[in-house]
Amino acid sequence: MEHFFVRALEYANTVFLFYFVAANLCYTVLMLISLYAVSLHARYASTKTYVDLQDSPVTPPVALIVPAHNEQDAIVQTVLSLLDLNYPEKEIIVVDDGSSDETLQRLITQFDLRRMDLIYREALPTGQPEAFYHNPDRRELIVLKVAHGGKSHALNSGINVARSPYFCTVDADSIIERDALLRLMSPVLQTSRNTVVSGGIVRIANGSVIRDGRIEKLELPSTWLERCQIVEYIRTFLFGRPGWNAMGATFITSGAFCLLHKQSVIEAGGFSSDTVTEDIDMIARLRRSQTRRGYDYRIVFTTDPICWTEAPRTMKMLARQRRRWQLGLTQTVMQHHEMIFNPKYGTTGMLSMPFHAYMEALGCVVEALGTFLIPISYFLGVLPISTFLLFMFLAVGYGTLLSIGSVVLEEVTLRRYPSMRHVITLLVYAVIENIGYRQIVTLFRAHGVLQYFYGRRKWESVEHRGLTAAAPQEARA
Amino acid sequence: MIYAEDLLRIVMLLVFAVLAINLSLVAFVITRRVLRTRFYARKDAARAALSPIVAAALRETDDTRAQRSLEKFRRTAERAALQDLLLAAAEEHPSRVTQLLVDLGYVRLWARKAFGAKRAKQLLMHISDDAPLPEVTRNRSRVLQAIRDTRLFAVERAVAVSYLGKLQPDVAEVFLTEAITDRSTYVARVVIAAIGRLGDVGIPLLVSELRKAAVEETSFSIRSVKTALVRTSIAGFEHFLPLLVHENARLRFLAIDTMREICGRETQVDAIPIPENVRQAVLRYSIADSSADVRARSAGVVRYFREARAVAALERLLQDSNEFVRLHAVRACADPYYVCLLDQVVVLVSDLRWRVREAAVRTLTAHQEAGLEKLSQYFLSTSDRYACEQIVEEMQRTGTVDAIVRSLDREQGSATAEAVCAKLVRLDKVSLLVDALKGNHPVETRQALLQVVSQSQRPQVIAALQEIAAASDDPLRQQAESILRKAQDTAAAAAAQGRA
Repeated sequence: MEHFFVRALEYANTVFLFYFVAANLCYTVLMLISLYAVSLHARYASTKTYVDLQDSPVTPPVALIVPAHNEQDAIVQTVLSLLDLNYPEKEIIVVDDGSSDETLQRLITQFDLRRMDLIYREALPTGQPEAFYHNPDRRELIVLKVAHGGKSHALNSGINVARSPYFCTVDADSIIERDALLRLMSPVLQTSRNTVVSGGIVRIANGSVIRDGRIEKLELPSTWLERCQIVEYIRTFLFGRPGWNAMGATFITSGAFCLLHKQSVIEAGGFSSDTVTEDIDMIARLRRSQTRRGYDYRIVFTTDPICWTEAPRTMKMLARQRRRWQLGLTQTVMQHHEMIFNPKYGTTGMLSMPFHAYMEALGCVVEALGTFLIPISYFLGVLPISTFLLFMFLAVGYGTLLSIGSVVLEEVTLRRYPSMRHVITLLVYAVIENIGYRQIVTLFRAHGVLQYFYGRRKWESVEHRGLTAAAPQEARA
Repeated sequence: MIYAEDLLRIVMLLVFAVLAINLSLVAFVITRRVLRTRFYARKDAARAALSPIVAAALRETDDTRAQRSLEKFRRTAERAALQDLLLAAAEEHPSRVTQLLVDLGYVRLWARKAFGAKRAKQLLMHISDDAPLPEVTRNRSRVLQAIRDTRLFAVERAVAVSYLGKLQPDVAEVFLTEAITDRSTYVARVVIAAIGRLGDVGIPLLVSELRKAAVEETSFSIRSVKTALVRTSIAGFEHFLPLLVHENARLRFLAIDTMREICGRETQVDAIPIPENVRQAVLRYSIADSSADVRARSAGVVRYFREARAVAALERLLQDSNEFVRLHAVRACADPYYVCLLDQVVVLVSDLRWRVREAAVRTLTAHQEAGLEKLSQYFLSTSDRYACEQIVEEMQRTGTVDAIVRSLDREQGSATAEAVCAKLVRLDKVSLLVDALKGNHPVETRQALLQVVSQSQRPQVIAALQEIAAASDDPLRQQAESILRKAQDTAAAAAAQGRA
């Protein structure tokens, strides 16, 4: 029995070693590609003004769709930030997804909305909304109240109301930078190919001061949990996704801030409630739908349109968020498994999908097991110290290089943090994040994968406290 | 075979390597931050010090003296500040700024980055001495060309070209004509945007690129070329004439659509001076084009003619068999000049296509009193459900319902207002009426409204009546109570009749 146990541990350790080496190799390649792509994009974008796009009638109108469920603390700031966006023609559609708090009432009060009986044409099946709210003096804004049906249903309802050829999904707890929508649209206009998705990056605004829907003072939050998430977001958005984008294999764009081509989304059947991460699922569905129809299309990800959001402040909320993300990713790769190693989907099928399925979705279970079993193997004497140290290096040490590298890339390209103090704090947390935080998150993610195999489909909601809002400078009409 | 000791050594080596890289990265970030802070402090100081000197140099009549006043600033921060200040003034003083940038060596530097030393020299000679520009003979190997096209090199060229594009138009045109042959998409985007900023000087180049983008595969996107073209003015419309009769329908469409956008940009001008030959071409060819897209977009150009021939053309387009043509034609009629076409527009409120119905209602609303009058009459007379829904939609969105409610207690127009409100109730579109009933309108208005709204049995209306009846200080309390009582009696009688 003991012999069997030792052999099993040895086999498991071989799998862990293979996984860690392969994962680190992939991340290193992605890091190098991102470094090249992001730094040059930043150089190019620094000379580019968006005035041409802002003034041009050729710039297509965009509908910003904000699904909101119990977002009373954040919704007004979000809508203010959207109203203030630099963009020639936009419509803002807030979909109140059956909130039980004051979300709708706060919108009505703040923007002087009035209930109306408007026309609703169902391009996507959603059922009739319960009510429409609008203010003739604020023609850009329209609010829909729908029965609680989840984010996908709310987004589909927003699409049905949208009149513009493009729409942008925006999370209700987000603040969009003033030029971000123009920057997001810019790649769409740069080519004659149909750009069906243009994704931007999401950053954490916890600790910052918001005034009238704008970040007035960018600050770092006070807790280690939030600071670790900041480094993690920087790494994901500057080192992971740009790498895939450079290979033309974007598989994930954040639904918190993402521009989509409306007709293509309708052709793909709209957002689906089959998964709990409708944004990832939509990319896969779009790729399949466009490929099936033989269309020439592209999906892009750009690093300078920035959306600021609120990160979970407690471990409990972080666990919920990460379990959901992981569950959604696993659901998506399982649902679209025919894309894996399918040359019809190009680099997405041959590289991105296998990576996301085996490394990102299922790999976290291996990582979580390794995190536990490797120290146990070492203490049981199954693993020599050299191999144990190699594991520790691969699991922790190399991660510091990736995290510090991403902070460096942030500093070289976007430079959103104003003082040296911020940069040094981020560098410190780039190390700390790898000792403890990453392992905890891996456990949450592994739990998410297990939830998939248990058959769980439910959305775990994350409570938001709302970003710190300063008093408005002037009364708004 | 790797032994445990070797593995340990390898691991330790890796750990030290990662540690060393991490420390180098940290040192790099901190040093960079410090150096950048210092550089920008110096640049800001240089900018403050140089601003009056640059302003004086721009006013200076003697080129040599102007150049001398600036050439002593040679430090990196000073050169950067000087470049910013001169480029910022390029639009206001194009020729002087260009001269200074040439004299101070900036243009040579940018041209070398963009085209290489040899070609830069030829281009500068061509500009300064009018020397003939030799044909380019490029014998780059495919590999070398591929390397040159990579982002790493193309971005630097694009940045250099973006600066060259800010020079005075005739000089910039030379550089941009050269840069347009660059195969990199990064450079191409910058070139197209820069040509657009040149104004009408750049139209021939852009039209030629539009032709290429529409007919052949190029690195330019049609939208980029259009964005640049739209920045030009109506004076350049002559260049579009050959495209309006081109055999390629896509090109004809792009030409007329661009003209429409240009006209749209210049709407502030009352009478847009569109040349007669352009008018004739549009009226003769575009409105009768075989492509529906061309006919549709031609309506948007014809709109700005504001003359009898335009009225006739729009009237014809309003009756087109294609919905997009009707849609654009009806939108074009939103101009006050075309008030005479309101009768034809009203007909389209019942169009089979909802987009046309919507546009028709919006056009009528844009004509204010005259349009609203037609709309109200049509609304009251029609039994077309879709037309009614569309009209109500626009009435709500534009705030017209409020205006109607306000006129309920006036001597003039109250009958029409009451009829419109009654129809809204019949169509079950009571939300805004209920809102007005609970709002701050005069008692007489609310009384009239209450009478109309009480015809509805919607829960929303009943709730509003109950709210009024429950408010002790509301002057409509008794009236609401009586309506509610009557409704209850009717309901009870109906129930009894049902039981019997």
